[in-house]
Amino acid sequence: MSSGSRQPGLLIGIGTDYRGDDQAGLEVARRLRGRTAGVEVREFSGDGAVLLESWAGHDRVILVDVCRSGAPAGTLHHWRLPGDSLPAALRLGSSHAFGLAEALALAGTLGRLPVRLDLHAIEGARFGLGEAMSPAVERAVEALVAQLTAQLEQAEG
Amino acid sequence: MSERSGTRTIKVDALARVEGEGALYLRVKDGAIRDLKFRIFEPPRFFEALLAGRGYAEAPDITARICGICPVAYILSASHAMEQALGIRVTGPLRDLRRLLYCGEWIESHVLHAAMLHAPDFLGLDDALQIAQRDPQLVRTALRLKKLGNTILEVVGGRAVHPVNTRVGGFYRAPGRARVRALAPELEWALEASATLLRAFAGFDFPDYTHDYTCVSLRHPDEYAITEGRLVSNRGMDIAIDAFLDHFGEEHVAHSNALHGYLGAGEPYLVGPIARYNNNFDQLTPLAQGAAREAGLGPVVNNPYQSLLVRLVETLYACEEALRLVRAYEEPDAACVEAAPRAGVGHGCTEAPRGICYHRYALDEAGHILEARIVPPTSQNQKQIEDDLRGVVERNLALPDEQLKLRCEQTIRNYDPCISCATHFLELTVDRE
Repeated sequence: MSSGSRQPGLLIGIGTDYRGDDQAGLEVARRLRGRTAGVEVREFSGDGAVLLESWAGHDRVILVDVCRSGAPAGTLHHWRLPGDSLPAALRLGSSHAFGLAEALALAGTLGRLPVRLDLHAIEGARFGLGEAMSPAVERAVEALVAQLTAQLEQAEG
Repeated sequence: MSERSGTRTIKVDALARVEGEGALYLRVKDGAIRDLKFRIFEPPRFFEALLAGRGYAEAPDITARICGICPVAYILSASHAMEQALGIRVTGPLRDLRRLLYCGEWIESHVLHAAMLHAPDFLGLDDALQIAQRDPQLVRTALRLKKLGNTILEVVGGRAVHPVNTRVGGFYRAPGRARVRALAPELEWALEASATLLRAFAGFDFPDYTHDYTCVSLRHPDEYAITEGRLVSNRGMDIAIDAFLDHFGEEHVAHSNALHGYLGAGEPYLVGPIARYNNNFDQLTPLAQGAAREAGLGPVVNNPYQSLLVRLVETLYACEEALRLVRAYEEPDAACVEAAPRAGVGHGCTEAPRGICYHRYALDEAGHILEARIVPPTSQNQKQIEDDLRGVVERNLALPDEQLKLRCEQTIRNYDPCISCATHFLELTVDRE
């Protein structure tokens, strides 16, 4: 995990309420809100095409989502764009008809990526309606919140 | 792909571009279909149970969570049902604002599906990314149009995705006149942009398949129905929405957690853009009718693949209608019609981008929900999707598996099925014995 030297302007937690581990990105955003001065925190539950527009005007963007890559539940992944390429088999969890992976690829093609975009993804395990987040994902949410808080405080300082 | 004892099994995560999670299983023996099951998950039963015991005012916001693409459909169907139960009616400028909000949802949902998800099927491309590499301007136009739809949601509904400004009885705060009127220039651009997309897609090679569908939609005496009307069909049905459950049923099928909707004694029926278009073509504006004709569509469409074009005709109509509403907008005196809790039953039915979305609620004296029933468009189309797949597969059995799979995916995408809006992957299995 690399840490940023400048404070990002926008953090978007992506996910869907009521659907197990798919809430993880929203939960990270909720816990970070108010603790990151100068960083706008948003929750997002729509499609990737809207997401692609939503970071317009922000140079530094952090996205938090769940994913399914085959790793153990709760595993934290991090990619930085431009630069890193997302694994072809990666399934990002919570954006739907037109997903986050598609949105990021399309943003790259159309020249709409921010100067720096950090994508944090938590490996999810269960996505059933009405299910709680799995314990491993709960722990990962806490760990990621702590990590991002420290990172953003360091950037502020 | 694997070989096992003379049966060829192919399993792919084929339909990531359809919302939700589901699977298509197809078994072919001696050149004939032996089994075909379209399986999807998660009907809204969870949400119906979640609503029991909650206050009437909570239903629109909670049911909006069923879908990230069409929350307005759930918000307004639930709101209308509650308003009927509470004995109030939302009319005049507040009704117009709701119609404007709904136009925004049609625009963003239709453009997303037609241009970004369905068009690649007709271009022999994997996804919108490949369209962007070939024709970036087309994708930029589609994204700008879609963004306009979301901007309408933001201006009227308070947020670009899940509106927060709507409530039973109307709105928390009426949007300012200047902000609404400021939508006009982009809507003027959108008229030409949606016509451009329609022209671009009209030349697609649509598979040769037609079916005499039973088309079910709302119909309103004065307008192309979106937010209200009577339920009609092209077979002569004409009923109040309150009678929905007397005419339509849902059945559990062994292979699916979802419910399959049916009409009468068990017939499949079609809801969505083609059903609306076929029932209400006469109420489209001259501009939309002309664009449809220019795209090669008559007043009745029986080729389900042309749903792509019908979505764009409806997009053009929604832009024109939104422009009319925006130009006429004046801030209403009150942002909502207040209602006192009381016991009652209410029905709501609106035209989600994918077709009619029906809600029914029973309330106690304090306005708490005793019972909730939600019938989303995708569950109504399930039986028809299976029928279409059977017809399409029968005509295309000679195709190699890979092409047959693509044709099945394209066929399912005709319906823009909002399978559950949560997780994502439809597996397609073909067994040839």
